[in-house]
Amino acid sequence: MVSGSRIAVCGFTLFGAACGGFEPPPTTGGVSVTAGRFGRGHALVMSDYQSTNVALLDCEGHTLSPAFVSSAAATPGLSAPLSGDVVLPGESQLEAELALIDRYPAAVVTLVDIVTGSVSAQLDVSTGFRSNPQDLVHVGDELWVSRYETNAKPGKLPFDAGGDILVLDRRAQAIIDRIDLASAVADAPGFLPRPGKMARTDNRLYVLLAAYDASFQSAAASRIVQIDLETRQIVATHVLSGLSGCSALTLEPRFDAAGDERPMRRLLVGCSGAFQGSSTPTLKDSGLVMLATDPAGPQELRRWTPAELGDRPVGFDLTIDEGGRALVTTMGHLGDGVSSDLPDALVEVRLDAPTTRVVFTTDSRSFELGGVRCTTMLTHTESPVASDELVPRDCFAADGERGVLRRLVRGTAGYEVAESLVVEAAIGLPPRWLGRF
Amino acid sequence: MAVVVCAVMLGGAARADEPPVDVWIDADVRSPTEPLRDPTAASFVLDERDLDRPGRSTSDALARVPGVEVTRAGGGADLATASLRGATSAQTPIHLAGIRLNDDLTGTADLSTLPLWLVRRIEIDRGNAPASADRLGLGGAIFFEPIRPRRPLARASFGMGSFDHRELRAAAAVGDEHASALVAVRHESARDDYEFIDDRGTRFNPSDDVLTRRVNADHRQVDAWVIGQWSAPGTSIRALANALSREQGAPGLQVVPATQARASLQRGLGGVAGEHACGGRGCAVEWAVDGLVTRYHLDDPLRELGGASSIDNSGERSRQRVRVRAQPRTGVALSVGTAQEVQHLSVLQDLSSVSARRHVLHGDVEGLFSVGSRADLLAIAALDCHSTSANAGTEPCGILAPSARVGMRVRWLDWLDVFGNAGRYVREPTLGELYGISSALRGNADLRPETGQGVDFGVSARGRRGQAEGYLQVDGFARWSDDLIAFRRSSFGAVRPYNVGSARVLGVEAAAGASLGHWLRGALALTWLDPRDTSAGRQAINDFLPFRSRWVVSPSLEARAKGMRRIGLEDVGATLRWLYRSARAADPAGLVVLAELSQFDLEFDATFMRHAALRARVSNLLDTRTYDLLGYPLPGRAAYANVELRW
Repeated sequence: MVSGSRIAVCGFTLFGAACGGFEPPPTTGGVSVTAGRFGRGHALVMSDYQSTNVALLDCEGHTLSPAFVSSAAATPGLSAPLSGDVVLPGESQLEAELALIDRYPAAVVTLVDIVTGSVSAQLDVSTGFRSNPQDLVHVGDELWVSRYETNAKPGKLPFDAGGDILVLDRRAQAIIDRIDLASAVADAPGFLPRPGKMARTDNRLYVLLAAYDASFQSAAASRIVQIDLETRQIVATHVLSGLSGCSALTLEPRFDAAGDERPMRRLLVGCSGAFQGSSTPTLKDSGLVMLATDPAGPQELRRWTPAELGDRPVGFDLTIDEGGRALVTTMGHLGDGVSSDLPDALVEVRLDAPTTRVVFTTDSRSFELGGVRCTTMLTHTESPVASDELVPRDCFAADGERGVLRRLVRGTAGYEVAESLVVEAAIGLPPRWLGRF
Repeated sequence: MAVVVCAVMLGGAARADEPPVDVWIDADVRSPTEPLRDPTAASFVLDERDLDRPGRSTSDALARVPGVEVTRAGGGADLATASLRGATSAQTPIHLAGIRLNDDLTGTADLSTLPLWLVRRIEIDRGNAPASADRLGLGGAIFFEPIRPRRPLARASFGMGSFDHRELRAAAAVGDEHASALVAVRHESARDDYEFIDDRGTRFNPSDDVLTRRVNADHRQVDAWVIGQWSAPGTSIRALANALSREQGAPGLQVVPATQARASLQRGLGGVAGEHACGGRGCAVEWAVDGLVTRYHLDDPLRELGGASSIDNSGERSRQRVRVRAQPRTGVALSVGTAQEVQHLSVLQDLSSVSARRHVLHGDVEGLFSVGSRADLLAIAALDCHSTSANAGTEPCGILAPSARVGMRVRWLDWLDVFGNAGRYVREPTLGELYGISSALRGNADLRPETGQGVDFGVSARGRRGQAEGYLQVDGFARWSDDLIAFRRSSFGAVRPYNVGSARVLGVEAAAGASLGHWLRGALALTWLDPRDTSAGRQAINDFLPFRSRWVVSPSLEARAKGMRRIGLEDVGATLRWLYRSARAADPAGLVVLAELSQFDLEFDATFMRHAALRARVSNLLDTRTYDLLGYPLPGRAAYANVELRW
């Protein structure tokens, strides 16, 4: 009897130990793609806000590596290798590494070797608090990271004040400086800078500040800060009067459709309006604004009201193609129990004409339209590759509700959905954010 | 040591003809698989021998029960939840003294607020709850039964342990079998500053990992009990009141812990219940009036937890119920019950507030039919009418939730029972799900109740030969759940619940045990689970539900010896327990896989001269680093001991 029990216990436990494994889908590694004038392609972050998978695509939207790196790329411990809040930098990444920003609460920048798919460095940018990094630009061997949160009790660690641009030495993997942005909201007491997206020209960095208060109950007018890359000093601050909750920023492509370099690249800023502690922003503070990147400071050129954008607040991402057409995500809203959810819409905006039009809407849900990017020429300096001539100037939009990447081609009336791409089929996370690499 | 010496001296003065010390609890030693409340359910009972151990939390005790999966967020005062048969914790009603503790915010009950020291037994009804429970539960229900004093007694205990754990408790009872009262109070505190490996959020870079200690994880709490009973021929009345007050740190995720955030919790519950004979044919009327009041406050001045700087949640629930039992003929037992419940929830976060109310009318009918002496057939039908409101008008019976079950138990042989059940259950949306908690956690007044259909079938055997005894229970189950409430999250963090989920759970559970006289006792609990997400429109390829392990195995072995009376040692025992839980996903896509858990606990107890007991326990003997939730490390090896004096 006793020996039988022992045998049963051993049998059960051995069986349990042997069969208890839960194996996550493996990553598919890096890619060897020669960068042409259009770069190498697009990176796509897919996430259900609990875990993340990153896929690499070529310029036409073909999948190169469906699971380049994911939350399964290492064993979790106190934290996951990649959390569910990972985004790509707004700037095209032509380096050998793809940077991923793990925002909240992790506050980590992960650099992944594009060829091998292995993580070459992970940089903690929390400095002891949930700093919520938002964007990253490469400045020589330095990484400049915008940090949304301001530390309520700084002084325990170096560079721990937050609300800044953190400067890291990539080689030393160390924080070497910070650019305090508090002075940019000095005219609005009680409001924090809350820096988000960044865009860079040759010697200037433009940083978009949302200027919410600590509780997100109210917001001052958003603003753009211009920083000199050499001196790391703020040289100009442009207040976007009447606009708040601005979080989308893009720079016009460096080259036009004919391949000529533009003498001046325009900035496009999207503002959702202030959320005021709710999930529905105030439409009156929403809008789209175009600015000239004047070395003396940004100059406003034009604004679009929500009425011109389908009566929806501007979402979190937008892009401009080589021909002066912007694709702007706009947000629906959650139903109130009586009304159903209002879906998101992608709106095409002609920067030099009065026309706007809705390209497509999500099927039924709100907050499902993620990133949008167009294939544009990135450089003249790289040796052109034969395929450059064949690269279509298509755009792509991440549709989380359908779980597909929408490929958009320019028709006679404007951009139209040409096809819906299933980028990855072994994990099945919805597409969220796009970046160039 | 002084306490031990004192205890031995006091014990030595006792008369040899004093009654045994444990008569104040129900000393009926039964097989843990014998059902107490429900003759056809797959039940498991943890009695006082399994519960009152130093440093042993409620989640520790439940983790070793077949079909139960616990999830802990840290130390003894941090959130811990239990779920049955792959259900969620919100689908698992947990009752203390018959009062359901699940809140109406998220629907869960926090096990850390349930002390084990005055609990005489925990009954776990897997899959099917008895009609007397106010919610039948998709996965079953768990009942904590406090002790019932039966004679004058006094207890005092002092305990201490790792992480500056301190515990003082005292209890006194007067009365006899017919009328008695007990008053008890306990103070407990701990720093819970155990070590863990901080990977600093950079899992790909182990070079920056550091061994560090939890900060702001301390707690101190006081809980007090008053329990009374009175009985006369044909009548009995019981009354109970329990108050819990806790103040604690709220460190949150340990990757970037909150150093200033503090929380406080106050909970009071009380009730009076009676039973009266009403003539012949087994007629009895049972009634109860009870209430539950909770207050929770979080103060996060630096907003380190990422939400509001101040949160105040309050909830009140009152209930009246009555049940009539009768045996109209031999072999037929009927009962009809009805209950009325009123519930109020208030949430204040910084400047936003939500206030909601629920009114429930409940009715149920239960019939138990005995066929000869070998078969019991059970039928239960219940109907709940929920009228809820938030600020605006109430919608009468906006949620109508019928549930029903049929079950049977057949005594196939003298030592072998066969049992099975088929039922339909519901879990009504909480007020938090219906009306929201904050601007980020929105409500959805259109939510329907979650529903589940389940079947189970099992065998239960027991036997005795000489001084050897044994039991075995094996059962399998299947459950299909629909309209499961899941939150859809938007890109900026706001979430809203929808009836979008469905699931299918298959499982096998086994409980086995054997004892050899007083000296040796072994037990094994095993659970195999196959929980699948069958939601339409699910995008993730993985369908294995997160936070469920395929295997949970927990054997234990206890050895005891009658002591050496010359030195006052009466009884000594040691128990070794092992808990194995296989790896489980922490996300729906199955990308984040929490490592398997293998943990040994060693317990020791000794009784001196009838009036003193020394208990010691080492948990997580091998000092394994484990997580139930990402970002919330669990304690490593810890040691606890207490000394108890009894009169």
